[in-house]
Amino acid sequence: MNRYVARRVALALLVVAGVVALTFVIARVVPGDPAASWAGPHASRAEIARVRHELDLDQPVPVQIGRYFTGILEGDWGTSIHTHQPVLSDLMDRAPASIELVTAALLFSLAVGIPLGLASAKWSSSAADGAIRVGAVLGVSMPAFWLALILQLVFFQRLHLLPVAGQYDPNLDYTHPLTQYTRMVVVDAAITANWTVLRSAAAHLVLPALVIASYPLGVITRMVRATVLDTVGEDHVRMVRSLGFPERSVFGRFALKLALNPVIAVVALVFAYSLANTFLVEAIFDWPGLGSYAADSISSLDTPAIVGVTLFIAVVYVLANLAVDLIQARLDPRIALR
Amino acid sequence: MNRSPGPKIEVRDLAIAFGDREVVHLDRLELGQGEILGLAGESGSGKSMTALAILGLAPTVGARVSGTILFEGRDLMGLSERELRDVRGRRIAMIFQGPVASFNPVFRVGNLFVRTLVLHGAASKLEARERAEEALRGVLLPPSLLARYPHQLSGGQAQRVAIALALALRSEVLLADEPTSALDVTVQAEILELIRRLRDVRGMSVLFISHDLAVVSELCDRIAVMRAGRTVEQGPARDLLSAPAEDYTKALVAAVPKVGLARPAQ
Amino acid sequence: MIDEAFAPPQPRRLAVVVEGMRRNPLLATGAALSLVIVLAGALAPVLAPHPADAYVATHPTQTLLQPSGLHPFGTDQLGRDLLTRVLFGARISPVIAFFVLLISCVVGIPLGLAAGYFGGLIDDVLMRITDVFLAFPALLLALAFAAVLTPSIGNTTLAIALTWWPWYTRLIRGQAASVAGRQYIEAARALGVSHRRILLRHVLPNSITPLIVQVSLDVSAVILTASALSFLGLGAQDPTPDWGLMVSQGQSYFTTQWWLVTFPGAAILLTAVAFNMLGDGLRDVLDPRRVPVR
Repeated sequence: MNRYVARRVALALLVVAGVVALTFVIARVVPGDPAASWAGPHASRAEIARVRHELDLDQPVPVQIGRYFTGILEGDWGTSIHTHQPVLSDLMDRAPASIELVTAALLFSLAVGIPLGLASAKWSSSAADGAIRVGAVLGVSMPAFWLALILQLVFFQRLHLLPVAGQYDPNLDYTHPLTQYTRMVVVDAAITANWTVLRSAAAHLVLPALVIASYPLGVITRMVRATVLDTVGEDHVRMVRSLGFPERSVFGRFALKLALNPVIAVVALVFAYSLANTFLVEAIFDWPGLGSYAADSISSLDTPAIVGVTLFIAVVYVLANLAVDLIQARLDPRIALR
Repeated sequence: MNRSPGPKIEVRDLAIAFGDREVVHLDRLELGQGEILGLAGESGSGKSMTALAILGLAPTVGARVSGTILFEGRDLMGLSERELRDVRGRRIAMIFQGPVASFNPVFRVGNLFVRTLVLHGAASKLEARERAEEALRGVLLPPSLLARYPHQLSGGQAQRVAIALALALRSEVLLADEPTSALDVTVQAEILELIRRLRDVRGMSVLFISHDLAVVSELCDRIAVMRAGRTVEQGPARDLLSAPAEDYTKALVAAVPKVGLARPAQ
Repeated sequence: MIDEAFAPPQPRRLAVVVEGMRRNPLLATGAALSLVIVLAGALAPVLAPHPADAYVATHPTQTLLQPSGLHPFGTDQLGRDLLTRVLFGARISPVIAFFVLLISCVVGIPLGLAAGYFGGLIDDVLMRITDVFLAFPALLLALAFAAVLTPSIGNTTLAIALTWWPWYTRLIRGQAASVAGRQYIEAARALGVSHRRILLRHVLPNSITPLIVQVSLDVSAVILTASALSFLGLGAQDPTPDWGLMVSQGQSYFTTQWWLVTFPGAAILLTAVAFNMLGDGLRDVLDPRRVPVR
């Protein structure tokens, strides 16, 4: 088991290194002169040249990559050309908002998707099953940006039920200022018992999280249904029934644990898609996370920032995959043998 | 051991059908108290379905069942699902072909034991655990096997564990559906011996299903031969094997490789 | 040749699929719906009420009209009939998907075959390379590529294809590796059958079934990714009637002229649903390992 863990971690590190190199190459291909951007529109040629030297842009690419690697390990992820702040601190600033959003979406889809999938399997071929399956297909096929706009129209414009911009009501900064710990507004508000902000933050979280949750919800529901149905014909289900367990245990306890493994596997896949959707959703809901940061960086050709965001996302994704692999091996002991 | 007067299980006019296709039609089948009854026949003769029907599990594979199944005089067909669940495992246990596959692969074997025993009335997990360990010792396995996952057990070990489950539950009847068919010949002998001991020491009544007449003849007191869902012939093993009345039985007996186990009819 | 004698019989896929359509409503509905959409696109010039509005057109007196008999989907900010543009949009998305998947297969399949069949160093190197690509969510990587290239349909196709091929390499590699280990392959090699023949006659045909299923499921994913890129302005440009682009253009008018966003987006949804159902249906019918999901 430990060898398995070690192997997976080593592979993950290798992949991250490759990602950094790839990102660097891409970023260098971006047209435009980052040094000129940094120096500003009124800089002289000499100033631009000086900036170029400071930013190492006049070195050959392999050297730049090498310097970048060592920098990263020391915690220096470069400085954003746009904000003139260290990229790492920019990322730390913006990441919690995105993490909050994606986590809320994934938790929701697990909490709703697993029971729905179970129900769908248990009452398979019934009308309820059909309805759930249709819903799942819709979730999986949904264009996130469109759903976001539609929900905004319905719940904000027409029904005036939910807010659609930002993470929480900015006026509350004056009336009920929030002390930040994790920098995730919902979590911080809950910890500090700041109920006004919590209400506002939760309300702001609903729509964007729902949009991001639509795809994972569909996938998880279908996966649970398929796995449970696959399992139902198998010998061990017959045995558990012959021992006198009621149907709800047969499904809810025994089949479920078996189904969990593929579900966890799917969460990793779904996480990737969710990150991408978060990107779109943040733009539409004005959510101050990594997605909007990345969008700004791209439009201002902020290479260090672009590379930093890419690296960050890749690392997160690789770690997520790693975590999933390890959880899977824990859940299904047969895996580590392969 | 108490010997109650009537048969332990009595099956009468059992009909099992899938859609309009009838797969089993048994006039009469009796399993006596403390008896090992062999149910022999080729694949598809309906032996397994009969066993499933006894436990009321036939509908879970989509079959319709009618008839009478008396367990100590009580008709199982008339019982509610809840009452049936009390009977399953606790009073009538079943073991299957391919023992490793019969266990849920993501649960440790001991886990299943404890859950089952608690389901059927064990006072606590601790008590269940103790009974489980005792049962494993009863089938000559180290209690440490309880910590293992099914794929970490050999076929023989897994089947013993399944039998141990019936032991721990103190079941009175064991339905054994081809329990040795997926096992090596040497392991097979051990399992058969174990079943014999269960009957001798615990007074368990066993319905032993197999397509292998040689195995059946070695173990069973009485044999019922099935073909295409019907009983062709039933009677005491010795009589059936030495002087089979029906042609089909004769053919089955003649097909057994003769290593001194069964003598063909002359 | 004698190596054929050992090989397991190939399933007659087309017959299975046709038969499957009769029995599996999912497959039938998905196939029918997908066909309708593709036909709608192909026949758009004929079906559309105002074909001249599809690309470049302005009707200043007819801008932002509500849906009506004359314009069932209303008109956009330039007065173009929306139904026409949506219909013409059906010529774009499926075509992008087709080319993306074609490129992915053309690149991914040979690489996957090589990796799975020969194993060893080739396999390791290729797998590490695909790992790096797969370390990114597809949309984000495509975004990165697209941001670098000038926005256009062709470049979007290229950008997405660049992120998509690793999946197919992985898929084929897995299949090839499992087939390569089988005994009849060893037997064939022992008989002196060439690598090329083995790959073409044995490994590839056995890998086709999961490939077909994957491709049909991927059509939706590619269409969704392409629309997202267009929505962000990195794909098709005006006046192309790309659905994602239309949603983006309609955004600013959305609160009052809801049809500008609703209909093109619904078209994306419908197309994605259709091909997902088709893919699911094919998987149900073609994949022998799966117990049929009732």
